[in-house]
Amino acid sequence: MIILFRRFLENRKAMICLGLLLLLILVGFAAPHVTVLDRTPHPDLRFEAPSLSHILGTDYAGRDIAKQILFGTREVVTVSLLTGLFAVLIALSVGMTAAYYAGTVVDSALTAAIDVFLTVPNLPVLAIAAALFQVENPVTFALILASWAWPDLARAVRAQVLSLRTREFVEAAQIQAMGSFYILTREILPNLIPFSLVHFIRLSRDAVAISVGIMLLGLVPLQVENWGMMLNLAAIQTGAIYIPKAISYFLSPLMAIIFYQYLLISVAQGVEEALDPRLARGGA
Amino acid sequence: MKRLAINSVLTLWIAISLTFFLIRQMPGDVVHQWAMRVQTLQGIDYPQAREQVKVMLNFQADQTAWSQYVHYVGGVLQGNLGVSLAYQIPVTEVIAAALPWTALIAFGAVSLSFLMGTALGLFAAWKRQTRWPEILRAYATVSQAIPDFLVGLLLIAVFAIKLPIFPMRGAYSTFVEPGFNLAFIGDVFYHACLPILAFAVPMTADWALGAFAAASSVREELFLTSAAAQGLSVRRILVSYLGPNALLPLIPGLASSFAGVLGGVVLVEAVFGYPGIGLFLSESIQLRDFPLIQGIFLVTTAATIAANLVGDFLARKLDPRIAKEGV
Repeated sequence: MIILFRRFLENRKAMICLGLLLLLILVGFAAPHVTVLDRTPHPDLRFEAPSLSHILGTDYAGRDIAKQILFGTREVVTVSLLTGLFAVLIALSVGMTAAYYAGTVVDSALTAAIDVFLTVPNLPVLAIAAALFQVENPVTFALILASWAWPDLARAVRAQVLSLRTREFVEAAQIQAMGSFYILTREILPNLIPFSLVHFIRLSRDAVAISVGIMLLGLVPLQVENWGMMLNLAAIQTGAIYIPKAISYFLSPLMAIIFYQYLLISVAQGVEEALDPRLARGGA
Repeated sequence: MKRLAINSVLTLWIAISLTFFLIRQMPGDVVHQWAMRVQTLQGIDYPQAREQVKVMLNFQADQTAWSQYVHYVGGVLQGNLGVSLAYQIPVTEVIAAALPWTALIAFGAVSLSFLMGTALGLFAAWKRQTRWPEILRAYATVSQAIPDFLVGLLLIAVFAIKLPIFPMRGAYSTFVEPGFNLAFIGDVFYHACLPILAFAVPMTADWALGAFAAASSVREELFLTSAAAQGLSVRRILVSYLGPNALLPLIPGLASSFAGVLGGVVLVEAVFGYPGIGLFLSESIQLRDFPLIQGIFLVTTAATIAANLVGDFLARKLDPRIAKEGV
C-alpha cells in the first residue's frame, strides 16, 4: 500500500492532474459561497464576444459564460463522482456475494444478471429511464446512471475474490478458524481497494460522457449552468453553434467537459501505473 | 455455448419486459395525455380518441397488469410492435425505414476505424524505437476524453459551419431523386461522412492500441526471426507474416465494436439529425411515443445480442482453444 502511494507520488504527470482535479473540485464547490451567479437576462448583451469584462463572452441571454462554467462545476462533479461511488458499491456487493456463494444458485443468478446488464446497450436504457422518471436532481440522476454502470467491475471483483481465496494469507486465516464473512471483509476486501479505485475514477469519467449526452438530448433538465445543459442550449436550442461570435458559448462547456474527463483519465492511468509499473515503461 | 444461448434468451426477454414495466411506472395518466394530443391531431372527440390511444398503446386498463403483459409479449412474438403514436403508422414500418441508415453508419464506422486503427497500430509497433508509440498513446488518451457525440459536434462546428465542406444534417439532399442512381448514392455517402467519422475517430484509437499490443507480442516470435533471416523484405514480413498473425485475434472484436455503435447512435444521430433508429429513439423519448420507444429498444438489444453471438462464433472459429475449454 505504502509503496503504491510512493510510486504514485513520483509520477509527475499524474500528480499534476490530481492537483488540478482537486483544485477544480474545490473552486467549483467554493464558488457559490464566495460570489453570486447573476441568472437574470440582459438582452442587450446577447452573445458578446470574449472581452475583459466577460472573459469567455456572454450567452444567449447576455449572461457571463465563464461564471456559468465555474458554477456548473459542482453539479457535473457531483453527478460524476456519485455515479462512480454508487456503481462501485453495487459492484463490490454483487461481485463479493457471487464469489462468497460460488457454485451455488446465487452465484449463477448474479453471474447471469451481470451478463444481461453487460449486453443491454446502456445509453438507450439510461436515456429512457432518466426521461421517464423525470429526473430533476443530481443524486437521482447518479443513482439511475449507476444502475447500469456496475457489471464490468462486479465481474472483475468476483474473479479477483475467487483467485484470492486460494492465496496463503486466506488459508492462514481459515486455519485460524476465522469466519468466512470476517475473511471476506477483513482479509480480501482490502486487496480489492486499489483496482476498485481505478474503476471508480473510470466510471466517474463514463458518467460525465453519458450524463452530458442525455442532457444534450434535452431529456434531463438540470441547472442552466450545468455543462451538459449549456451544450444543449448552445448546440440545439439557441443555435449558438451557427453564430461565429457566439462560438465561445459552444466551445466553453465542450472544453470544460473534455478537460475534466482528461484529468480523470490521467489520474486513473497514474494509479494503474503505480499498481503495475510495467505499464509506465511502455507496455501497451 | 449453452450459457451464451441461455443468456441471450434471458436478455431478450428482459429487453421486452423492461420498457413494458418502465412505461407503466410513469407518473401521470399516459392514456389521457395522448388522447388529448390525438384529439387535436385528428379532430375527433375525446372518448373516441381515448379508445384509439388505448388500442394503439395495447393498454387495456380494465385488464390486470398480468394479462396486459401476456397480450403484449404475444404480440411481440408475432412481430407486432404496436403503432407509433406520433407517426400513426406501425412501429415496424418506422424501424424498417430507419434501420438501413443506421446500418450504413455502423458498417462504415467499424470498417473505416478497423482499417485506420490496425494500420496505425502495426506501423507504431514496427517503428517501436521512434516516437510513434508515444504519439499513439497520447491519441488514445485524448480520444477517451472526447466521446463520439462530442467529436460529432466538433466536426459539425469545423467542417460544416466554419468551413462548409460537408452537410450539417440529414441523410441526403432534397434535390436528388432517391433511387438507384449515381447522384443519389454519391449524395448519401457525402452525408454519411461526418457521422461515420464521429464514431471512427475515437474507435480508431482502440483498434490501434489493440493492433499495437498484438503486433508487439508477435514480434518476438521465432517465425519472424526466421523470416528475417531468410532475407525477406520488410514489406513482405509486415504484410504476410506480422500483419495476419497480429490482426487475426482482433477480428472477433469487430462484432462488439458494431454493437458499440448501435448503442451510441441515439446520441450521434440526434446530433446530425440523421434519420436512423437512434434519431427516432431520441425523438420518441422526447415525445413519449411509448410503442416506438419499446420497439426501437427491443430491436437495438436484439441486434446487440446478434453481434455478440457473431463475435463469439468468430472467436471460436479463429481460435479452437476457446471451443475446447468450453467457456
